[in-house]
Parts: sequence; structure tokens; C-alpha cells
Amino acid sequence: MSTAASKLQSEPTSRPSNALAEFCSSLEERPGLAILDFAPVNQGTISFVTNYGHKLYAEDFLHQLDQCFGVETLNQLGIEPGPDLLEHHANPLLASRFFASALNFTDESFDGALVWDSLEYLAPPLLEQAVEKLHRILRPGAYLLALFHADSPFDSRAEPAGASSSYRIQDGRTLMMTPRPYREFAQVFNNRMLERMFQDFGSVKFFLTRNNLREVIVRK
Amino acid sequence: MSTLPSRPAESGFDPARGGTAVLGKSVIVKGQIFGREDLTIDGEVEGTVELQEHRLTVGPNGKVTASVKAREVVALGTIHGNVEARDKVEIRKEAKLVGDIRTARIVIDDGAYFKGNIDIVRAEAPRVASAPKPAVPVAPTGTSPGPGNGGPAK
Repeated sequence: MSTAASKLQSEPTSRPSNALAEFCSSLEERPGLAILDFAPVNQGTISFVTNYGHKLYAEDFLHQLDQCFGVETLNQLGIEPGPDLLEHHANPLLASRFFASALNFTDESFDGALVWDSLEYLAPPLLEQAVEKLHRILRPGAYLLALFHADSPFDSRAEPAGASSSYRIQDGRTLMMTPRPYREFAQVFNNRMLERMFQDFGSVKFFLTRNNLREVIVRK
Repeated sequence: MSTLPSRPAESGFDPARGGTAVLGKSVIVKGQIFGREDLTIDGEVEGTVELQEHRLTVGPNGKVTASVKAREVVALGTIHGNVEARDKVEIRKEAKLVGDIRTARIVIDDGAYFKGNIDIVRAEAPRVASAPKPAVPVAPTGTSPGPGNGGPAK
């Protein structure tokens, strides 16, 4: 790949987001909300959320996933990494280590969660636990914003599998996406799977976007 | 009386102005640090650090496992612990901060790692001396803007 092309791919891009607009409208209800952000910490989201008078908790969820299920950690624990790291998401010992650092909050701690596309990188046993913990730590009426890539591999508009990005709020209707290194999806979801995933929540609302990145607003 | 302008000492250290103390990268401190001058930590500190009116800089080699209180905190190295800075917290690229931050302003570079809560404390507007109360109560003319009503700054 040419230097120019690789540079182009690493440039941040912006896109309008109706789901983000809906999430942000919930921030206007009252000050002093507690918002959880799964993205790597960034100035844009911090400034946007705190300018409303809210608190932001930065979690960097995928960093913690790598810390617990990465090759280096597995080697330190004497576990053979093998060809498929996602298989280790079913390991109860590793899962308990992971949740000791990630999503380790008291019940009903948050009024909103910016989950972005993080759930796509969790294999089923870990995914179910993560969603259960999200349900537990959100207050009734809280909003959750999640993104899922298209389930149609034949759709030319779909972003390629593993086209991972780091997300941040540019303004109340616009997302900024910075490409991240390739990361394998654990699974790709359709609407029915997503409804089942969030069945314990009060409502699930889908927004299908031009590039087939499915935006989801879930309300507890 | 001499009319020559006063100069700092040859070393560049001027105690009258409040210098910057430095804990070098081979220094390890376990305990409490209180100070009335700026401090740079490039070594290891475990305990508490309190520089109420001054700046704490954690250098690239610095590892601070402590609760920190200062006027301003600049992290280039690692901090594990809660940070309270009256004016500003800066977390530079490559820095790592795990703990809750309470400050008036925060600047975070892309590439920094942070895990914790961010609580921005707005500086209170200076209080106007209490005006004499009118003998007759005045009817309210409108709603005063509450916090958050203005939305985020664009």
C-alpha cells in the first residue's frame, strides 16, 4: 500500500448519526448525569459530555479486552494462545479476570452508555455476560448507544469485516471515526439477534445508515 | 540601595519565586509529599502528593501511585490514583492515568490512556455583595438559566 493510501486510511472521518442525536437529546434532560464511554479517552467526547454538566467515565473497553485475552497475557498465564483468540472468551477464569476490571461498577451507576461497536468483538459467552452487566449498571430509563456492522457480506456498501474504528462525538449529530488496527469480529448480527441480545431492556430502536453500519439505541 | 536589577542565582534556581523541585528517575519515595512549589516527579512515588497552589508534573519515567492534589497536574508518565487539580489536568500522549479526575479543565492528547471518572468542576462566579433587600418582594420576571441549560459549547 502506498504511503499516501495508508495515510488516507488513518485519517479521521465524520458522519451524521441519528442514533447519536437521540442519545444526545437525553443529555439535555437534566445536568449531573453519569455517562459511560467505551472508546479510548478523547477530548471531543469529554468536552461534549462535560459541557452539559455531566460526569464521564472513560472505560476503553477494547483495551481491557486485549489486556485480558491478548497473547502476552495468555502466555503469562501458561495458556497456549492457539490460532483463534476468541475461543478464550469461553474460559471462565479469563472472563472473571476481565470483568474484575471491566464493567465493574455498582448497580444502576450510569444514566447513559456509549458502547460503540465494542460488543461485536465478544464471543457469545462473554457477550451475554457483558450485556447482563450493562443492564445491571444502567439506571432505569438510561440510554445505550451501540453500533453493529452489516450482516450482508455481499453488500458492496458494507464496511469490510474488521474495519474497526475508534469513535468520538464531534457534535450532537455527528460522529468522528478514526480507523484502528484490524480486529476480528466475533460475530455479525441481524436485527433479530440484536433484539434477543437486548431482550431484558425496555426498548430497542434501529437506525440503518448509508454504509450499513447499524446504529442501535437501547433504553432500559 | 543598589539600582541593579535583581537576578536569580547562577544555577537558575530562584527560591524567592518558588522553584521547581525534581525527583529524579532513580528516586523512590514512599509516604506523603507536601509542597509549596512546583514539583516534577520522574521517579516513583507511593502515598500522597499535595501541592495545593502549585503544579505537579509526572515525567515520562515517573510512576505515581498516590492520590494527588495540586493547582495543575501534567502527566507524561503513569499515575494510579485520584487526581484533584483546581485549575487544569493535562494527560499527554503516552501517559497513563487510572483514577478519578476532579478539575476545572482537562486536556487529553490522543494516544493517552485513561480509565476513570471525569468530573469537571465549574468555577463559581464571584459573589456580588448582597444587595439590600427590597421592602416589597419583587415578582420574578423569568426563569434563570440553570446549569446545563445552555448545552455544550460549540
